[in-house]
Amino acid sequence: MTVSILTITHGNVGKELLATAKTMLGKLPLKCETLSVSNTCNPDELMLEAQRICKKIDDGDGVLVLTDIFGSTPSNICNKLKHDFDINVHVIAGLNLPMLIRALNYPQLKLNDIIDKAISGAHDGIIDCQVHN
Amino acid sequence: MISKDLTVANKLGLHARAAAKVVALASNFASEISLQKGDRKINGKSIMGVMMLAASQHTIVNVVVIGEDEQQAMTEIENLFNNFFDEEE
Repeated sequence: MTVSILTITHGNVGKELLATAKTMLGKLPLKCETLSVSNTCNPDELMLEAQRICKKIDDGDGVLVLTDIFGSTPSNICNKLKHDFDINVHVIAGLNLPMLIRALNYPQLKLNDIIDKAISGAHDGIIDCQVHN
Repeated sequence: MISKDLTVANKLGLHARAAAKVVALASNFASEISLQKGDRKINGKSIMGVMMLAASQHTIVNVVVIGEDEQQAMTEIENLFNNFFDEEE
């Protein structure tokens, strides 16, 4: 049993980040899916689609749902998702490539443990290149 | 414990894909594996750690392997470095 990952983001942000991660790593060690949110979308329909995807990809260890920016429509869809008690999800906002790569580097971890890795990965990936040697 | 200085030979250096190969290989072994460039020493099983080295072409990286399978681990890591991380140049 492993954690699965779903990105719910503006446009293709999540899709492109996941594609980049796959190119970097050669293959994805966890089941991953993406959901793109456009300006013209129906959030209620997308919520149902997100639920459907989570149920499909849940391997028994829950789904880590990653969204790009807190308070946006993609994020609001995620936050409604976590109130569905039929699925085990944990939502993190602030998706960046280091977050994704860090999470994928620990495919053996359970949901509660991979959350910390994803968040620290996101933070650690922010580097002021003017001072980093 | 085995310690060796290995040179990053490929044109793009220890970039993301090369780093991922190092980490994927290192993760196969039980031994502790570290890489060091200058003062910065990182866990060889952490992809972000390896990338933080920002080791460009011609950089010498000190690799230290400690554990029951250290001999095989170091041999395979050295081969990966010598094979340009399976890149053409």
